[in-house]
Amino acid sequence: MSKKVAPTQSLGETVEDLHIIFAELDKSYDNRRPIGRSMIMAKAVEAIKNKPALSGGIAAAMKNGTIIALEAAVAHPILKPVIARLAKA
Amino acid sequence: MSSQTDYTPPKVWQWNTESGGTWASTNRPIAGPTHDKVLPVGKHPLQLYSLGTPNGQKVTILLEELLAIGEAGAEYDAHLIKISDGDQFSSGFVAVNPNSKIPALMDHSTPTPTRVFESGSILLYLAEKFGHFIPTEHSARTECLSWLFWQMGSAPYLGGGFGHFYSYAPIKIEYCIDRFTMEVKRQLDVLNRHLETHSFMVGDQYTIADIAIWPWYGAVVQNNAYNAAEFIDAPAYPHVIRWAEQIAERPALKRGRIVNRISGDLADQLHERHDADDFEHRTQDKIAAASD
Repeated sequence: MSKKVAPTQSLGETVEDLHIIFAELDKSYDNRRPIGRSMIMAKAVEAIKNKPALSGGIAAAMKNGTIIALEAAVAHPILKPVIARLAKA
Repeated sequence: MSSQTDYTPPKVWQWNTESGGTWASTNRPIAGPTHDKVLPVGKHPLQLYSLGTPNGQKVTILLEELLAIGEAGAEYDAHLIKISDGDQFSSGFVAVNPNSKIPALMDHSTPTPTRVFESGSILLYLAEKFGHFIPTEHSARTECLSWLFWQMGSAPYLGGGFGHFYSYAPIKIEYCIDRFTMEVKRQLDVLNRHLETHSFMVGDQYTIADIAIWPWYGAVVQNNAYNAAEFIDAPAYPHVIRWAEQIAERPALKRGRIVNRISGDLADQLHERHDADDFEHRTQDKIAAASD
């Protein structure tokens, strides 16, 4: 029986995907307001969960210690709480 | 009426009609009709007998959402049931809902008319009948039903428990208010944690779960219920507030929430709804202006 392996992607691809997600959400919601931040948070988590390769890329970054580099490269104020929430799930 | 400290329950409880409180004159410990009255039937397939309370709003919001996406079969007449006048105890109403609670629905589009009572059951019936606002995929549908049933089980603590003792009871009893505030805050925390990572109750889909929960929990955090937003520390639930505000912007919801409503701003009261353009011409502010 073959074992399912979670798909993953490189740090660069992960950064690029997150840039795209946050750029789209920033167009729709105001990240300076609590309501906008809450919406971006929920939508970002949903978008990440819907992309197994991206989820895998973030999980890999948390595991191999490159998460700080990832956060610095994406440089979005909601990324840290999103990652904290994903880590809890 | 006894104070909170000197009451010893008797061997057999007796109905005391002087028990006090906002709803004392309408509540009673027996079921069944108190008087004969036939319910009116309008021209549309769906006949709703209701009042614009949170449970009533659930149904009219869903009906307006269905009409907004082009489901003409969802056209409805919404007849006003004044529960303070005991309309829910008429023989006609009891025939539609033996539990004498609003909302109650008769669907005349079926081979023999179908009665539907309990707001959650009505939401499910309409969502299945028209195939909207309920996911088709099994796990998402299950999540939707879980939250729908969560609401049906939880809201009595908010309305019948917290709302009653905080707002309606003739005396303020700390024990009761504490008990139900604790539970309501726990429920709000359940919603807040879920909505932190979900845009709607079932991910990115607006469903009957949102429609069921919004009139109760959205209202309380937006200070539209019991004037209690400050008391329950609504800002502690930012994700619930975000979700409530986001849903409140939906045009169909703005229409649905004022149907059968008999309190608040006159512009937000449409006592009966029989046609789509009643929202333009039959709200209480328009009726008052026309009679001046």
